[in-house]
Amino acid sequence: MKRLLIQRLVSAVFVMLIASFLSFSLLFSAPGNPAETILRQQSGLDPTYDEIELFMKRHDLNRPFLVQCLQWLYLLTHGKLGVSLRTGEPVLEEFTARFGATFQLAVAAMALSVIIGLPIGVFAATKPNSLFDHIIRVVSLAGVSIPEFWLGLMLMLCFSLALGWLPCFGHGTVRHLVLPMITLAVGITASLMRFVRTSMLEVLNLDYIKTAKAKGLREVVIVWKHALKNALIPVVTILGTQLGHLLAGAVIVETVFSWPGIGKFFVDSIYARDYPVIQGFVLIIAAIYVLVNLLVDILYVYLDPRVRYEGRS
Amino acid sequence: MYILEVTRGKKMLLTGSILIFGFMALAVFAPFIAPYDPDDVKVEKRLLPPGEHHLMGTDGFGRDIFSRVVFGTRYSLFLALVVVSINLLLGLMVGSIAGYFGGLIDELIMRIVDILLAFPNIILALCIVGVLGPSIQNLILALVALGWVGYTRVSRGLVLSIKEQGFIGAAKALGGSNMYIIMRHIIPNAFPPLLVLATLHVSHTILSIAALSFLGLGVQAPTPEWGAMLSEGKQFIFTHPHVMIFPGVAITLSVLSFNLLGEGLRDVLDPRAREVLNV
Amino acid sequence: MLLKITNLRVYFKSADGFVKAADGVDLELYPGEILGLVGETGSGKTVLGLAITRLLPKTAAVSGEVLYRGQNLLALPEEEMRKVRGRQVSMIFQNPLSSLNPALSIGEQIAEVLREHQGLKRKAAWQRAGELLELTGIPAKWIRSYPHELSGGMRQRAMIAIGLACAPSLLIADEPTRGLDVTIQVQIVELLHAVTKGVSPPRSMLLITHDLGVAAALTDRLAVMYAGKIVEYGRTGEVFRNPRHPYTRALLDSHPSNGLIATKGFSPSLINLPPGCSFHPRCKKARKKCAHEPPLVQRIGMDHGVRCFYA
Repeated sequence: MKRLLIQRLVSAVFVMLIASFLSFSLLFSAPGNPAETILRQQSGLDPTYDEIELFMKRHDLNRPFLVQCLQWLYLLTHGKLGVSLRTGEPVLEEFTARFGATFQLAVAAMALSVIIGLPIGVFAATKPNSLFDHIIRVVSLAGVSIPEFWLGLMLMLCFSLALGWLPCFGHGTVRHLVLPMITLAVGITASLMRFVRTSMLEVLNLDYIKTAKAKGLREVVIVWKHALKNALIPVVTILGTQLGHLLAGAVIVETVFSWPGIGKFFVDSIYARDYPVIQGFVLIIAAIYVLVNLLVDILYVYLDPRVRYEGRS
Repeated sequence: MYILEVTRGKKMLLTGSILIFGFMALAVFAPFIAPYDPDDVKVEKRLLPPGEHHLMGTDGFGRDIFSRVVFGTRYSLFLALVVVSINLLLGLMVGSIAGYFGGLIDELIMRIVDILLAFPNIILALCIVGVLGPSIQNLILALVALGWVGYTRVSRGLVLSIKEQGFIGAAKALGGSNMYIIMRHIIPNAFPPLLVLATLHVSHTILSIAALSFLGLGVQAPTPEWGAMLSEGKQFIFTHPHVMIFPGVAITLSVLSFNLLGEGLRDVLDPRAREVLNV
Repeated sequence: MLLKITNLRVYFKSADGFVKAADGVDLELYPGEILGLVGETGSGKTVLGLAITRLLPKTAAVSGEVLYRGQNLLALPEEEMRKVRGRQVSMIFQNPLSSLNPALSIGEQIAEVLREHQGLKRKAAWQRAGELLELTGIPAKWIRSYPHELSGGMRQRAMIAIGLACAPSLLIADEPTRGLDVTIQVQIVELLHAVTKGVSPPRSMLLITHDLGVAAALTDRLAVMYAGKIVEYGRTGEVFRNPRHPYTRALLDSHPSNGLIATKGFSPSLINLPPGCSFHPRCKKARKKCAHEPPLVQRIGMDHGVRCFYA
């Protein structure tokens, strides 16, 4: 079991290295000169040749590819991900400064999804092919089909404009959190509901559920204790995927609602061709993603007593 | 239980297919169905609400939204199909190679695939398009960069099971080369679960394309792609909401139809396929 | 009489027709006795056990009467039936690896029955669970173990402990020795004997098995099942010495100690049963009547019945 985790760690590092190299090479295929773009944005006028040269020198943009690459890797190992061309601050700091807001949004959305999605998924599994079940299937399919950015805007239209209950931009109070949280949660709740339902259905068909019934246990106990404990195990494995959705969703939702998190900053940096930020953020996000998946693997092993001893899943 | 699943699957299959057929028809016959030229700018007719002359109203430039939505099917659907086809082929290749050769190659490939499997495609896509500049080619590149990964595992699994069934031995005995075997024997058998995966992937890709275009990093305005239309219409959301509603509904419906088709296929096809897909 | 089953039919609806898993079964079980239900796989034995405890899926159509202490179990509301299960009538299953919940300790799986039916508190239930484990030959200190940590024999013992937790009057054991090593089988048979005949008052058991050796060792009376019907019943010794139904004879002949004589043909599809007597296509003694009329049970001697025209 430990062997498996170490293997995972090694491949993760390997992938991260490839990712770093690729993201760096990407920079060199970029059209146009970032220095030019940034300077133009800053001053509003076309920069002169000298100004561009100066900028490039200051940011080490005129060295040969391999040198810059190695420089980049060297800095990486020291935790320095470069400096934003826009703000002048270190990329890592820009990230950590905004991470809190994104984390807040993500956790809230995840919590909402679990609170709503889990019980509904379980309940739908106990009444397969009933009207409720059919409705849930349709609703969850719809939930996965709606584009998040559009949903956000529609919700904004409805609750902010038409009803005036909630603010649509900004950050600060709980009321600001509601709309972005719901927008982000819809997609995740939908897939969670379906997955929980499928997993529960499989488990409810297994032999040990029949044994539990033969013991005369109450249905509530059978479903929520015997079945769910086993059904949740595969659900944990998709937590990694859900994280992916959260990250992707955060980028869009933050942009739509002007939520000051890493997603919005990332998109703004893309518009501005702030390459260090683009590269750096992708790497950090990749690292987080890898780390979380590793944690999920550990969690999975912890939850399934069988895997603990046999070392396989 | 199985019987019920199949009937429900058939219903979904039917509904999805009808919807997709409808969208395809719109895409192919767009010039005949759309009442106006989608690029026809008529500033005096800006922002008209839905009415008798303009089914869905007009946008900020006076263009008929209905016509634009109809033409938009071409971009969203065909682009998505192109992307998914490329991904399918790539994933099939990589997965077949991994499964066929086994050993170290297999280990290596599957390790990488494992890690990449749920990485948010869109972040990398944003990165690629952001750095290389927005254009359709870059868009396709961005969506293909990670898109093939999902098919690898399935392909490999199928190759492995086929290997055990001995088709390979027979073909080898007849003198077929490695490449020949992969092409002629493995790929045709892998089709059904891959088809389900691909269908669901199409819906995912339509969403990605729309999202990227919405952010201005995909298909660019003034092309009547739905995401781009939403991006243009964003500024009018509070004053003239109709500009935003219709393209969004179009996206949702097209995505839904592919989801229905995919789910329906999954229910109807061999339940063994469901195991392979792990759902 | 503890259990009286009358004209029990269990039909499953399938795409191709009705699967007649049980087609008019009559059985009687007396207090303190072990009744064996033998037959090949697919004869409907397990379905019978599940029918008694009402654990069949919703796709099963069940008719007839199952009288337990005079009460028709089939007519009870579900909530009442739940109170019977595990408390008065306990069923234990084969393949304890899949029949035990892998996520719960064996102690917990015993204790919860006690808490549910006897209202014991956590601590008391846990203590009693340990006692039950000892009773079935598992060291009490293993109470926190998980099913996959135990050997096959131990798991079966745990299964039995769970079944006995609330001291039911009737234990239904479905193939309790299947898949176990021969030496372990002997141990389980001894255990089953100890917990049924070895207690006072003796506990009744319906033993479902395809293993004639186990049936011979444990049972007082025997019922032989074929294609959803009881074809012969009687005292175990009598049936073994003097099998009257051709199928029973064939069953005994096929035992290794009797020469492993095979019977030609295959067990019939329960959807398309042969007309008349279900066994006639494979029967050496079959005559014209057998293909047209289904035979009824004939009593031959005290407590010995045969479903055959020419027994």
